[in-house]
Amino acid sequence: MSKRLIGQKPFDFSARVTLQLGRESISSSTVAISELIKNSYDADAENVLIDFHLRSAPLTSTLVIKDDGLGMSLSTLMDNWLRIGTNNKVLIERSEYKNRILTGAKGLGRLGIDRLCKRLVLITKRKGEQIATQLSVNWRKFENTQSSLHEIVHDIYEIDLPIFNKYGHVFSDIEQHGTFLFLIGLKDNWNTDFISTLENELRLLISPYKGLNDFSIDLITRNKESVFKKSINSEEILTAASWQVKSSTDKYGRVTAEFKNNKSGEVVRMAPVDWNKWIKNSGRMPVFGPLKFEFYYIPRDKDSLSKIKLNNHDWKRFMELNRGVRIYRDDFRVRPYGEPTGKGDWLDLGYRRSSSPGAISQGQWKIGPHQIVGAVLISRDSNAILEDQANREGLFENDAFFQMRTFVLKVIEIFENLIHKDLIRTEETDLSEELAKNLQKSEVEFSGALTNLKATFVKQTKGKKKQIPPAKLAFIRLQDFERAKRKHEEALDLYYKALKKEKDKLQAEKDTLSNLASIGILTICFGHEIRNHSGLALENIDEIHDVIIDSQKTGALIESEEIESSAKIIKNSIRYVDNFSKLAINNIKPDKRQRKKINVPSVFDYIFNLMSATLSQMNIRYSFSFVKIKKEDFNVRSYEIDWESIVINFLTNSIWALESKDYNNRYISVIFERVGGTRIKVSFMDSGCGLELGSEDSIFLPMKSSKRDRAGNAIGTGMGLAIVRTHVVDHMAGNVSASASSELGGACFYIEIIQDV
Amino acid sequence: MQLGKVIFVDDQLDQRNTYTRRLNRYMKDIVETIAIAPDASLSDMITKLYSIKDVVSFIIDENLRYSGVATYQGVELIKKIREADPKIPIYIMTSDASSVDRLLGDIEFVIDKVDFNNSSERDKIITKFIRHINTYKDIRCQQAERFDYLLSKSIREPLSEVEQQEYDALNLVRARALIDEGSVSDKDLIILDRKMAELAVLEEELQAIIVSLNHEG
Repeated sequence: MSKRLIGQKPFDFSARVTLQLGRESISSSTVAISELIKNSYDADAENVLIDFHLRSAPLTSTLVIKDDGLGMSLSTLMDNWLRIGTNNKVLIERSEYKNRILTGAKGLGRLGIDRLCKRLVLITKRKGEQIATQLSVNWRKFENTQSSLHEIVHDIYEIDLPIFNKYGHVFSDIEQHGTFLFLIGLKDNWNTDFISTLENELRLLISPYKGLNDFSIDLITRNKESVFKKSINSEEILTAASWQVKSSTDKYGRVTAEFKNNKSGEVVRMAPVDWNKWIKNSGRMPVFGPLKFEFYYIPRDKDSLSKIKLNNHDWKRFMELNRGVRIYRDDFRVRPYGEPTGKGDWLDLGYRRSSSPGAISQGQWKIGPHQIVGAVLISRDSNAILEDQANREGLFENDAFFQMRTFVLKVIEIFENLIHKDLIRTEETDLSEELAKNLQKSEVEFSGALTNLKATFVKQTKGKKKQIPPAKLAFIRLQDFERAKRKHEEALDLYYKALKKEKDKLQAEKDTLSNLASIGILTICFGHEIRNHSGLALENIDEIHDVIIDSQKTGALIESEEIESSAKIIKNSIRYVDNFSKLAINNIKPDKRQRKKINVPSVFDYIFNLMSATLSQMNIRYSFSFVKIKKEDFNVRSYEIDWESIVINFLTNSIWALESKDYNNRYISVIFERVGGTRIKVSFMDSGCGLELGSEDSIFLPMKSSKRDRAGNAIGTGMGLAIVRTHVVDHMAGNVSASASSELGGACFYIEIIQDV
Repeated sequence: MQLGKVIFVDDQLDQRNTYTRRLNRYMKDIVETIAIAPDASLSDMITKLYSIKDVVSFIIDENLRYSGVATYQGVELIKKIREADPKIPIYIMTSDASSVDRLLGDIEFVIDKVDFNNSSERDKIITKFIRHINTYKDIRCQQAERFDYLLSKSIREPLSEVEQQEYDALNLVRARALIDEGSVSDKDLIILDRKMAELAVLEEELQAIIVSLNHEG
């Protein structure tokens, strides 16, 4: 057998099929135009003009699309524009100067031109070039032909400046740049309705926060009678927002915020708050200066979207382009803030959402990056400290920048709390009880309906029993129906009981876990201190060992003082670790989980004593005082373990808050007090940094933490006070509240309960 | 030969005593470790640290605010030290390594207090310490030689722009020691003045006694 290579041949495309491909990938003429506009966006254009020159017949009409983008060089035109399905946008991802995320990725946009017109003339020019390049495509060449795609060629010209044609000036100046598309011989009838559909499509490409250097689209429609010009804007889309939030800091450092529920029209205003009360440990005035921050919360809500002629898919496209919080300085956009990824998501909205993916009703809900459209408005005069980096890749990440970030995040957090509260206000908190209520209610309605039905049948069949057998049949069926109903009721009852049993079991598990979580919080808070002590013990043991070895080797006398000081450190450290483990082990003993008469001050004594080493090392002084009640009378029917958890949580919070104070100003005061009759109160206050104003209620929500790091991110588990609340409210039918500052200067927590006499 | 000094800053006495003793044991004959408690203000603390001569390295506890004396954290102190000397080795010592950025630009590495007790870990740490310290000493020697060269050249002829920049940078590191010497001699002058005044008073008193004795005589 022999074989010979007789030739090599590639697959080829017939021109007709290629055209077909373009037609199928672009669903409509409005989408085809939108794809062309995306190319302008990707070419860093700031202004796009869509200019319809309409005559009586579409075929004599022309559409001019003009942009001030970078323009194309001859090689870009030949290698990229004329190459179908080019993947340069997949490879590059970002635009050349403005660093925009590229929108048109398929490289099929230009095939869509075929469905728009008979002939295309493209004129393009880059800045500083003396000449422009022209490409002419006659789409008719693709029709009724057997030719391959590469056999159909298009003329390319070089044109000297100035360039003008019957549609006006094209390029006259060497500095001009951009691309003109002349779509000659339109195939569609661009009447008012169709142009309005196009506007609807195009507004998805425009941000509602349009800066001077952002992307804008103008539309001109010319016909014999008139010339009509309008700018495309997407403000209407914002009416689909559920909430609108506006906030600002003024020159006196005061913070204001306004939250508007667009559906109910309700407006919640936050009275001006001084900066230092709003965010703790961040100075008296915000370093970044006065600014405005506003945003819209736009969830995917079919009803709201349909009112402005958008569907879910449109919403997705709009949010993909415009989501996030942008920064504008004197109406100019500062990039990359507000871009979907990397540094663009400067608030880590994606991370926040993914680490807390719960629903709004769960209380720790975080806004999704695809649900927010917002802007921070700064100016060169008032916010000079927010400078650009030399490489123009954003602002300097100085303290002012991080403080601004903290401010923005805090407004978002307040909003998240607010809409959570707004939601639960209208819902029953206990869903299973609500479910049972609904079931019972429907049963009553169901029974009522049945009785009526029965009465109707009985009435109708009176005296005509034998004459109308179908009624009898109906009556029999009704009896069957009633039997079924009884069975249904029994099943429901069983189901409800099973649910209740399950709920009780879960409740018991949750209580145990809450108490264990308190130990966990304690471990997180003191873990490094315990390691400090174990490190000390280990080193000093080694030191004693080394001293003995030295003495054996050299015969030198052992200095007893050295050994004693090491031994003392070892003993103290081991005692510290032991106290800690004692607390952990004793805390979970079963007898502490029995409800009995508990002397609350004794529990405080116990925990404070166990923690005395830490308190004295940190120079924290504390006092217990009794007002209108004796220590031995301050008893509450409760679980001992709950009180231990409460004291641990209060104490760990205080220790964190006191670390910012010097040793002369580290106090904790606990006041046990009779409010009146059997109502008693514990007040726990410290001289620490206090709570952020406005967070007094929300800190009791699970996963809520007011502890922040330098960049303004919430740190801490956020479980402590939620556990305190569960213990006090659910287990003791008491009340727990907080105030942002107390007579000692820091936060104060109050627990009101009933005395067990 | 004078041993270089390693400064260990921690706000707790037990920690200072223990780790100073241990470090001195491990790096005997190479460096001397000195424990310093943090001052309340950062500027006082920096002045105090600058007044110590022959410092070749710093080991700093991360949480200096624990006992409430210092108003700054370990990283803030490190930043200040680093501004004045870009080459000196600095280490963070902590019992909670997770709270420290291990790749913090201003430091060489983070030492976990408990890991330090593990002999194989400790050997690695000490080896690195010694290498860093020796490199730093070399740099200081080269810097001193280079500074002397540039200084003598500057007397003879103007320095080029690049040389002038290098000279200024070297002078900044060196200035620390010069300023300290200056301040010490100023202090000496004040003490000298005070002593002189005291002597003058004594002399006057003696004169008075002599005069009165003469009268009596």
